[in-house]
Amino acid sequence: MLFNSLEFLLFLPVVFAAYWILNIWTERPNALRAQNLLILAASYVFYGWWDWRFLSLIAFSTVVDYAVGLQIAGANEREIEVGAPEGARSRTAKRWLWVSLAVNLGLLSYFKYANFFIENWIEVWSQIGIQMNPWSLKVILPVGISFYTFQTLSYSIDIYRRKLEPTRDLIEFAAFVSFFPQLVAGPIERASKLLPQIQQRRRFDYDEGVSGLRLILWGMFKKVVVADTCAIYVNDIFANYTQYSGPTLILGAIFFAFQIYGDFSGYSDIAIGTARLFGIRLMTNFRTPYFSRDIAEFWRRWHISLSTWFRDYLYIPLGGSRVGKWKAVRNTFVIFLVSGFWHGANWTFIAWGLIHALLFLPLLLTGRNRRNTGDIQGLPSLRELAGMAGTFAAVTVAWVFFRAASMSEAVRFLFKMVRTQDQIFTQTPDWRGGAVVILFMLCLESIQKWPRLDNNLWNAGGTAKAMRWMAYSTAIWLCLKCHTNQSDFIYFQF
Amino acid sequence: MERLLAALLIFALSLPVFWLGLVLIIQPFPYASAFFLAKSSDLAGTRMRTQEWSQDDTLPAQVDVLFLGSSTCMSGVDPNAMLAYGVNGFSFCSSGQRVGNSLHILHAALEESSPSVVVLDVFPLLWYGSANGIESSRDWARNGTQSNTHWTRAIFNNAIESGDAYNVMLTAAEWCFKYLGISPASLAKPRELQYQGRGYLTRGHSSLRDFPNCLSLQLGKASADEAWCERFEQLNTLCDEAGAQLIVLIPPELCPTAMVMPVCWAGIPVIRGQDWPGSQSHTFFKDNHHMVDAGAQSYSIWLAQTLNKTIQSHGFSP
Repeated sequence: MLFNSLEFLLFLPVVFAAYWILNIWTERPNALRAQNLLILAASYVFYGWWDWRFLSLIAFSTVVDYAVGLQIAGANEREIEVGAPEGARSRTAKRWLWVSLAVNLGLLSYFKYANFFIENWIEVWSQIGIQMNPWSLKVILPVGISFYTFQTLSYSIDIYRRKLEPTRDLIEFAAFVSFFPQLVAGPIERASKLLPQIQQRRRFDYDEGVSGLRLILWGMFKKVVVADTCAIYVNDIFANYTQYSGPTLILGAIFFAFQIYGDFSGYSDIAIGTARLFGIRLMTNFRTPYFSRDIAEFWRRWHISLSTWFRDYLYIPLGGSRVGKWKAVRNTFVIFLVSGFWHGANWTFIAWGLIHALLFLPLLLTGRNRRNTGDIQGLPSLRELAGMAGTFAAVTVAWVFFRAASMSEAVRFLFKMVRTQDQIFTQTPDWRGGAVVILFMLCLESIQKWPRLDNNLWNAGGTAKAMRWMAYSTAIWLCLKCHTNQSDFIYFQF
Repeated sequence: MERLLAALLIFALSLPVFWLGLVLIIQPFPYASAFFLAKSSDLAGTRMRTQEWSQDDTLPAQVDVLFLGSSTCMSGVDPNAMLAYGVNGFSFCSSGQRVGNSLHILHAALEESSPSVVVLDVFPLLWYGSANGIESSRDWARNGTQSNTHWTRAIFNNAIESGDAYNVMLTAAEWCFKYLGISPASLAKPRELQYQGRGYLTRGHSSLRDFPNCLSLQLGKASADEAWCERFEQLNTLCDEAGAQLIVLIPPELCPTAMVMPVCWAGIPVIRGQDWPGSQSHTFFKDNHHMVDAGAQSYSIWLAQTLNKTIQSHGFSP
């Protein structure tokens, strides 16, 4: 089920009403269990709307990690009982962790990467003159598999690290794995943050409800008005890039930068807002990333739930940046390449990760990767503005690899961006509509970003209610107007 | 909870007031209203052609050939260029106008005119589905100036059958404005548009610099589905009832889309734009299938001659 669909528009109020009615009508000990059961049922309906067959995959992953969690905790307890030193892990616990890793990453590899490896295997042999019959598995990529796989992995790893107690309630755990607002495209929540919320009875809070609705509207605006409007230009320009002029291709790349931001951060906002309606707080996934002053800051603001996941479960275990210069460089490349590969089974995503690693490297080597950690106070200086422009330009160039169908297409696209001679189409698509919505979004985000300008239309602040309602109704109007072609969220494919 | 529901209810009830205010406030600003209400492209075209149609009392009665279709027809068919070849036509073509849209427009146009020939321009990549084009529905809702019953019905049917809630809202709002005599002020047209009469406007586009790389265009293969054919057959029946001959026109493309001829065209004359000698000249096109003004002139003359031959060979008289 898509957030921007009529089905979801009907589904959400029904589930919302049932959820809080259960809370009022059900006796106290049962209310929590009833709410969790409802979350589970609603989440399975939400996911099954796309393809019910793949519910079995989520159910399987849930049961495996539930059992693994209990086994690891049991092994950990036995270690403590026998007086093993703190930090020691039994072989049994390790073995069970490997079961979780093998099952989750095995499923992910099969459904997401099998064909990539087969194709490249055949290609490698063909390079040395041995021709093999091209074949591929007819595998459908289950929506959201990368997201819920990482979420369940974090559960097993955190128990192994003794940072989390396992739940003994399967319903609770299943509700945590499948919680529908963030099931298919994140934010990738940590078990240590989401599970305790699932385990506590939720009470309706007016302010949380209002902020949730506001986030849903803002997310919908970013997706339907900004991303889908940009998509019209992007699809045309990338499909006909051999015919268009260099400036038009630059325009296409810039529009894609805003399309993917509007699309993905819009989804995250709707997910976070929806969760708030159910009394659950999800982590922030985007913090105005295009206002970043360098690439390190960009990665602290873009897809935060994934970048912190990789930091906690890959980068730091590898030693992070405190293991000597060359190992730190190695770790940086590993994390960015894996991050690229996580996005999709295509060399273009790996190239995208590699570019980010190369952009990050000078900051790491000069020790300036944590220079811009705080928010800008007041208006940005010229130097900060230049940093933002440079970072945005670099990120936009990398996005070309992300959007292109193949490496050769990405390279040709980039070369054509700087050439003006060989264009065939003399017309540039009328870009004004796209530019207006991007500027509109950036203005509103600027207002929210800089605290001195905090009387914005989206937060209650000091703004008159009528003004805010006018802004909301205009946003709804524009969502209805732009909702001409209901389109999937880009990150569903990951 | 009650507090939130009450606030939501009050907000929902106030929405129409806010929206009406929004629509009224932006009426005097053409670009703002194009952004907030309907897309800006070709606004002038539909507005001016419907004004001409409704204001010149003698025109509908004189018109013998009606052209219907999408942007390929709008940018390529100039009825003015055909007059010298005995074709007295009028173009009701608009951007994104699909067969369902054309059906309703024809319904209304036939109330006021008795053409002997209806030419339906069918761009292959629009041969699917029964839904009406949203772009065209909005264009007609916002810019169709006629306010009589049959045109109002056509515009509402277009909006409803597009399956888009916003279209219905916009159509209702525009109908209210027309009914109350409030004329939208967004009459300003993009500078490059010049209305030439008979539904045709020049757009001042420059032509392609070279022949496009056909392989990179990824055109796919077009085939008509059942829903599309059903609409097409309804349109053919409407022509039959009005005593008009339907002719299908497949517009020219520099890189032609592969197509499977729809079975529902059996017995209906088909003109292939690809037979036009200029169909492979990139200087006549602004992209793969939209023509520049010079292309439209050349194509329209060829089309007038071909129409005459088709009419003669099929034995029906204009």
